[in-house]
Amino acid sequence: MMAQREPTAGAGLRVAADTGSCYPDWAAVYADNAIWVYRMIVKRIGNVPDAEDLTAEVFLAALRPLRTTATVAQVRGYLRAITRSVLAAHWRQTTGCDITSIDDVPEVSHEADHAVDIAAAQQVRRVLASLPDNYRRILDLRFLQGRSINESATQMGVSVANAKVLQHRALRRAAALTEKDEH
Amino acid sequence: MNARRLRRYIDDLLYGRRPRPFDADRFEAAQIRTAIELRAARTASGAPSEDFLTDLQRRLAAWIPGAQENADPPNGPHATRRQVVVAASAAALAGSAGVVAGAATERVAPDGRSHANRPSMQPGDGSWQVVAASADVPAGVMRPFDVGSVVGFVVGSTANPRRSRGCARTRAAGCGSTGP
Repeated sequence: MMAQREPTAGAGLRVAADTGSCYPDWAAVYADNAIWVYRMIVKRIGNVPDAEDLTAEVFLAALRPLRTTATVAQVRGYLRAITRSVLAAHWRQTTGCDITSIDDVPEVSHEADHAVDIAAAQQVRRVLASLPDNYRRILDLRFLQGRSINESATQMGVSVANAKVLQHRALRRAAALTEKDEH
Repeated sequence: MNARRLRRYIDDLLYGRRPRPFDADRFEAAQIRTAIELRAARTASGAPSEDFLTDLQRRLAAWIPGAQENADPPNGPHATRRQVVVAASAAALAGSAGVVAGAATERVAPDGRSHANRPSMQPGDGSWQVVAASADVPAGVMRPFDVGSVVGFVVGSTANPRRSRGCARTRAAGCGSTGP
């Protein structure tokens, strides 16, 4: 398995840790960057099928015109820029507005990006903690534990119809809290 | 009506399916964003499958000239739904709206052959937009652009015979295009 962090982790098949050096060929570019590009997309898309398609789109767009003389840092910035545009286009096509986005910066360090991940996880915990118990429970069961609506209803001791209503209302409340936090 | 579409979108997310598109308003967008953040909190690693990585690598090998001679083309049996949709949209676009000619040629026929001999199409309802100066897009360099309703990339290409006139190839997400 290749490296997992975006965009400068050092484990796995990373072939060019020195960001000032160059990749020997396109296969090295792919091996070094495929996983962080995918991860950057999937956590902003929320589903695997679209994340796989968008990752493929990024590399299909990127590799063919890529200059072999570009440095590792330039390649990563280039991939990040393409990923950003591909994600924006995806949202415009599917929902008509940007749901999530990628910061418009040339390259984010591993430390900075990891900090963003931690901040996002903390934000989720903060929002969940602000919800009434039954709202927090249904979101935890459905989104964090991946339980079905039937399993969640059983766990909570409510009907399936009631669990659906709870989930709907809990998500609305959580979204309102998140929006309030952001403004 | 949108409430049902939003519920269906969230259900698709929860079941790992590809959500069906719909035009979301601001608060619906916020709910989708929250759902994605909750899902992301669950999938801590978010790593792709080995099968996907291997398959994409093979498709890229077929896509990049000289990398591999006998691999399946990207629009072959392993083409993604998105590639197919983009190709279909581009074909429809080329035949109707008349915004650009040779739309998404690299996706419609990703066989590495030049399509430079195709005739240019004049804009009908649309218009040509300047997305970058030629000097800013030397051969082999990509620049992203965003002109409101269209987001894409412009790539300087030595394979493009019009290059000598300062032209470049553009690729717009969702409606790829070529033009000066």
